[in-house]
This record gives sequence, structure tokens and C-alpha cells, in this order.
Amino acid sequence: MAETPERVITADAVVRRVAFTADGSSLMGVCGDGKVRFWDAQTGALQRAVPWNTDDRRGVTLSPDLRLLAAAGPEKVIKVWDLKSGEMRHRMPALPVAPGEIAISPDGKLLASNAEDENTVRLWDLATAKQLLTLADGLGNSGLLFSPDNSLLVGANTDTVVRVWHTGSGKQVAAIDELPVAMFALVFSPDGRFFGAAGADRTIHVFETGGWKKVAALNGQPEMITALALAPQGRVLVAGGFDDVTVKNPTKVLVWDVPSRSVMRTVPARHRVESVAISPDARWVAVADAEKTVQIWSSAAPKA
Amino acid sequence: MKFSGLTRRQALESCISRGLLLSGAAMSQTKLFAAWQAAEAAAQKPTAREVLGPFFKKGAPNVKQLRPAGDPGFPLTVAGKVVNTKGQLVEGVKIDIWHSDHHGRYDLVGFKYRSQLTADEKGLYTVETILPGHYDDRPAQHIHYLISAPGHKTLVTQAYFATDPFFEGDPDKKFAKRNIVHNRELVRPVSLYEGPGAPRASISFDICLETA
Repeated sequence: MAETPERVITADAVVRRVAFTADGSSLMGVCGDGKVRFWDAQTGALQRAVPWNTDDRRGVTLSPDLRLLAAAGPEKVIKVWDLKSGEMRHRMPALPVAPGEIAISPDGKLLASNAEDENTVRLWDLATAKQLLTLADGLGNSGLLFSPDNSLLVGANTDTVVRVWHTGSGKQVAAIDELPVAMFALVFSPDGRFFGAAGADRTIHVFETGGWKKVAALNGQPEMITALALAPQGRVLVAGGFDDVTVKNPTKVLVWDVPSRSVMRTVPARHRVESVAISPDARWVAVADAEKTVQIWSSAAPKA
Repeated sequence: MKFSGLTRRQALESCISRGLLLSGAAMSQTKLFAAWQAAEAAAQKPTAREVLGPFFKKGAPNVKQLRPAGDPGFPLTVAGKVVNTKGQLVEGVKIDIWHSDHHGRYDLVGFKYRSQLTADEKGLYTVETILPGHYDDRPAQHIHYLISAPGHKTLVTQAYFATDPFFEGDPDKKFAKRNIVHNRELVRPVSLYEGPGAPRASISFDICLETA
């Protein structure tokens, strides 16, 4: 018998990004119709929907505390919305090239953006909307993420290099050049001691952030990986991705027990997995797979 | 530009007066000069850029034959010349080329349909491969290029095929459809040849690098 999810949350639009709120009571979804929806994580009931400018679809990102959403629109301006009030809080100056990716630092003070043609990363002060630094980057963008303590920014490129900068000085502190293919999903451990990157080689590469040496490679994902989520305790890691031909083919989501480096559970996804999330207690996994629903699964394998 | 004391225009005028340059159509000298200069300028315009795409793989071998025996794909020869915007040959050029199989799948485990080519002493490169495939999410057939050379800006681009059904037989009008192809020049005419046993196709894709 085909496995079915424990719960299904229904949205009015395709869900592009999912996350559990810090207390685990709500699930939020960044939806393709330009709204962020919040649902009761237990009942799936819609709690509220926060609209942002529906033309601003580029580089849509959430701050790690889920309070802010940043996105850019056709006029090449990055705007930042407060998801509690629904108000636009920051507006950056217009850019020469449309941004590719945007990241917000955990403390909500910094914003980073890159652009496909520029080969640079721009670092901004959010409160003043002033650009602080321009960082020399590689070719093609595939990921951008701040470290938990805000001191580092990591940029992954489709030239297969992952670069690490110090956010205070702008100095490049590392360039991980050993990966053969591009990394699409990046994650830091909550204590910042480890960094994970996964992408086109279906492997989660784990580095320690002292010397940026590789310490583990988690193999087993059947498809390319585009989404990673790590539980707050750092013990459970969820990965999802896409078939190399199309978004339409079914895929698998793997739930990893990090200390033992073993797969706790594998659950089916209907299509390309756009985003995965794990609840703060690591009991529930949410999967957004290019449909107007979010599938909720138990992270533990069902008893036989 | 000056050649032995003569401007280009003076040289051309001299050629016309001596019967060394004949205009086939009824073309005024002014028009002729303009057309000549436009053609020369175009020849030295840097190749248009395209996105790198997610499936570049580092470390491809220098292989000119990318089509294994019995490959079900349509045989394709890709050839071109590498120069820079000054019209000079480029020393030490490395041409990374990669594309999907005839089903639209990229090899990310090995290096099938991937090569890092060099250019010969005349600036020429050539590779024997197959026509890349289509798939829903990549509706236009394409070959990726990443070209680097000392003293030059790295160029990332893609070659497309004028015969691709995506262009509906009219690449002049349809090349920009769905915002996938950004420059008409990158859509190359396809030549078909009768080969021994099976037909084969070829495209030329010349590359012009900007000096750094």
C-alpha cells in the first residue's frame, strides 16, 4: 500500500517555501500567488494570509526568525516585508541587474544579494538600506546563506565553488573548490560549527567551519537535492530534490539521523521538492512539492 | 584604423578607383563603407552571454569525440574559431562544452557529453557529438559553453539550433519566446549532410572574447 502523509494542508496556490514557526504551532508557506499563509500545524486550518507585492517574485527569502520576507520585482528593487504587520519595512536602492538570490542574517540586520551577470555579492545594512560591501563572487548563483552568529556569509555558485566571506570585513575566508558540481541547498548547524551543502551530485557534503575541511558525505538521495532543513537541535536533517529531467517526476524526501549518519525515514513526494521543513521538536516533516498542498509526515518510520 | 599611412576609407577608395573592389549591387560608396565597417565591427563584437545553468561539472577531459559508437542521438559536429575583440587569436584558451543526451538528461556522475577543448594554432576547435534533447523544463535544445583564457574575461554562453521546433521555423521572430534565449546570434543555422549510413548535422559557433 502506498504510504500516505499524516496530514495534508491545502493552500490556494502552489507552496514554494515551508517553515514551522519557532513554537511549532504554526506552519507557514510562501505561496506562488504572492501571499504568505500561516496554518495551524495540527489542524491545517488557515490562520492568516499576508500579501506582499505580487510582482516581486525574484529571490524570495525569509529571515531565519521568519519575521521578514525579502523579494525583488521587475524594477530591480529589493523590498523587505514585516510578516507580522504585513507592512513593507525596507526598500533597497535600485540595482543595475535583477537579483538572483537574497539572504537575511539571523539578527535581521544584514541582507545579501547576488546577480547572475554581476559575479558579485552585495551586502546591505537593512535598517539604513545602505550597501556596505561588494564581494567578488564566482559565476552563476545557486545559494546564499548567513551563519547563525551573523559573522559569515556563504555563497554557492554553479561554477561549483562555495565561497565564505566575513560579513564584518568582507574578506573571503574560504573557497571550497573540491565539489565537482553545483550545490543548490545550504545549511548551518545551530551552533555554527558545521556547514552542509547539497546539490547536483545527490550528496550532502558536511564541512567543519574551523578550517572548512570536509568531515562527512551523506549519500543515498536518489535525485538531485534542492532543499535541506535541519531541526533546531541539529540531530535531524531533511533533504528533498528533483529528478534531473523534469519537475513532474516523483521524488523521495530523506530524513537523516545526523549523529548516526543514517536514514530514519524515506517519504514519497509527487514532484520536484521546492522546500522541506522540520518541526522544532523534530517530530514532523513538511514537504512542498510543487502542488497546492503541504504534506506533513512523521519523521520516524511507521511501525511495521 | 591606419594601414601604411592610409585610413581604411582611403584604402577602400583606392581599391574602388583601381577596380580592386567591385560592388555587386548598385551601392553608393558611403553605403559600401558603412556596410563594410558594420560587418568588421560585428565580427569583433564579443559573443553574447547566457546563463551558466545548474549542471556544469568541473574537470572534464579534453576529448574531441563525445559520441560513443551506437549512440542513438543525431550525430552533430560543432566547430568554430576563437578570437578576441581585437581580432587576435587567443593563447591558452580553454573551452568547456557540455550538453544533455538526446532525452534531455545531463550526466552528473561521469563526463558524457562534456569536454574541455583547446583551440589549435589557427584558433579553431571542433567536437563530434549529438544533438541535445528536449524536455518539458528545457524546451530549447542547447549546448553550454564556459570559455576562459589568460588576459580575457571568462565567457559563459550557450549555442542554440535554428532547426529546433521551439523556434517554430522562424528563429528571427521566435527566438525570444518565453524569455529563454536572449540573443538571436546564439541561434545557429544547422547544416545537414548525408553521412555514410546516416545523415549528420553541423553548426559553427565562433567565439569572440573580451580582453580583460
